[in-house]
Amino acid sequence: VVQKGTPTLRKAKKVAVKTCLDNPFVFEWKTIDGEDLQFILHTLEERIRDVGLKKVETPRRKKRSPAKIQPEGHFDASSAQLSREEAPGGLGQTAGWTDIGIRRQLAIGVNEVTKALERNQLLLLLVCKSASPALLTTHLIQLSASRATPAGQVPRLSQTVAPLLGLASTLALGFKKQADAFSEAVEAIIPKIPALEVPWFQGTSEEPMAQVQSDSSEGKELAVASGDELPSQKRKHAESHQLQLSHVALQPLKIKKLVPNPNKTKKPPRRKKKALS
Amino acid sequence: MAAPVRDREALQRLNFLFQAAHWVLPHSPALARFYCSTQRGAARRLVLRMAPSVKRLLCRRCCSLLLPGAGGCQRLRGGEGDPQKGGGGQPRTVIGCWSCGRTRRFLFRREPRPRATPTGQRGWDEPKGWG
Repeated sequence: VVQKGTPTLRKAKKVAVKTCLDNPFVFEWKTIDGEDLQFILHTLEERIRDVGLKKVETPRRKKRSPAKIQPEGHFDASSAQLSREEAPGGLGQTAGWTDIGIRRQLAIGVNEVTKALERNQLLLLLVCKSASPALLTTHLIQLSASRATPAGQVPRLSQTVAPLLGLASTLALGFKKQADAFSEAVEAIIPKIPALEVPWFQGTSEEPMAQVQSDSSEGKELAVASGDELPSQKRKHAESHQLQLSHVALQPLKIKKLVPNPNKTKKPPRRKKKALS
Repeated sequence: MAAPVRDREALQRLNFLFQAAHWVLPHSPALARFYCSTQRGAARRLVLRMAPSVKRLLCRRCCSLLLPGAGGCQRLRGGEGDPQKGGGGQPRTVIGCWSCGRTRRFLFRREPRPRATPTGQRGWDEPKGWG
């Protein structure tokens, strides 16, 4: 008789599949390809070269070799000497942007673009496809849709624009509303950009038109669920705040199945029963 | 493998509340907060899991929906040129809630972990497109 618990008789446990609610919304950039891409990159290149906007950086040596540990006083002198030696001889300019006025017309970098979009300051937004991970720029899709700002993903934006501006990488580039220097380029690029589709933000633009029309039945159902149209409550402004949601299209349920890793290294089980002599 | 019926109905309810909060947020943030708190309460009571991409959009303190357009601001911190925290630290995304002010940090994974079996998923939203 073989005892229970012997490895040979232990049946394989059923792999328990756990379900979880997945996000039904998936937002992805619509990449601009082909002639439009070439046109946009060419236009940007030309315009930035004409304007001459560039960031001048003095290279700094951050490497401190352990063999040469100098006191602080000497270090300041040596770093000053290094900066003089390594500064580009032809330019002779202080570190910074060549034209600050034009720099303020642009929003360079994801954080700056995000802030400008939140304050409704941008006319156009271009995003690079080389962002890794892609999560860096996906929030800009909904943000630009909410502000009704044209936004497009351009594959080689960082490779093209960053060297011209003297930067390491440019994942996002925004043109502000007062960008006089780039107005022509912006007007030429905007028609090439496909429209973004974020259903709930597109619905807000149609709301003022729908309010003039009679209430839809679907709008009434959701309004009752929200408690806005309770007949017992008298609200004079109830009509203006009714939600016109006739265009709502709900996504089907998306379930993610989680399968535990069968090759997971398990800890050896604790031996609770001790052999009693 | 078919999911049990009870869970499916509950998941459908969570799904509806989540989507309704998105549609209602531009009009009434308070209502969106109510939907999200109901969703979280129902998930907690029935012990239902939600994907990280769903949980990231819900504020833990006030249950409001953190959409990039309305409700929460998103910033990227860390990296080589970031002056905060003495030179950067791990690159992360910081989402702040506009109604309660709570912030959450999510790190970026630089190197994807090698997986022996493609079926051994942990359900995490791993960044794709690593170059």
